[in-house]
Amino acid sequence: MENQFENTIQKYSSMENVKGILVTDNNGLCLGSKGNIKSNSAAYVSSLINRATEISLDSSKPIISIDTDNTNFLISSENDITVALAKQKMNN
Amino acid sequence: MGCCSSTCVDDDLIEPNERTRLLNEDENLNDDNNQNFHMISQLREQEKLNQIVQKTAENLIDISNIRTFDQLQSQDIIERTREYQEIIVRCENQNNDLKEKINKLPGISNNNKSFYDNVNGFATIINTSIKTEDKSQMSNIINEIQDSLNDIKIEDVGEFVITFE
Repeated sequence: MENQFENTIQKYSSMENVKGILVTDNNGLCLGSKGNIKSNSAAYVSSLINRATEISLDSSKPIISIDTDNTNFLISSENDITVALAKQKMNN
Repeated sequence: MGCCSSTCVDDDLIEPNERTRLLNEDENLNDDNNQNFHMISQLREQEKLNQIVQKTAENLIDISNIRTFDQLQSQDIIERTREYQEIIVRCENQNNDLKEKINKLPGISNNNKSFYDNVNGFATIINTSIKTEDKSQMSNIINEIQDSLNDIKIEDVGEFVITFE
């Protein structure tokens, strides 16, 4: 019954420059993950977005970007669903 | 009635004045003792002075020769200069190692010059704004995932708890 959900995250994890995807709820429960992002990172992802929401100055949902040498992590949340996307970093 | 004092004075004696001896010579019976006492006191004084001098000499620290010992010989100067130069070179090498390690830090390397700026001597990471296309991509992903989650239908599989009769 979750085939559509599985297909959706499979589709996005297969996109160009995408190394992994993680979907979690606002309690840190991992709903699904594909690629290089481990499912046990769900709690950290959820916590990060919750903290960012607390310190944001307005009511808009924040988007977190974490840069490493080779990877760019984007974390966003809407309607109790948090998505973390790991993308291959383009070297300038 | 009165009192008249008188004394028997020889006629040939000179009338006493301020220079007249108070004690007659024949009356200096203790002169030898006085000389001995004077000698003894001098000896004692000398002895005490000698003791003081000896004590001082024992505690004396002679530094008159230290200056000549402290002067470095030319050979010592050359050797010390060489040692100090080696230490300086070693410190410079360590400094270079530190610089290499700092350059390898992620996000603060020369390859990512757009990500850091030197302000007042401090390297700071400038927060680059997230691209609009990334924001829209994230939004699309979340919307699609939410739709797929909403489409999850719970199938009725019957009684979940079965009683054994």
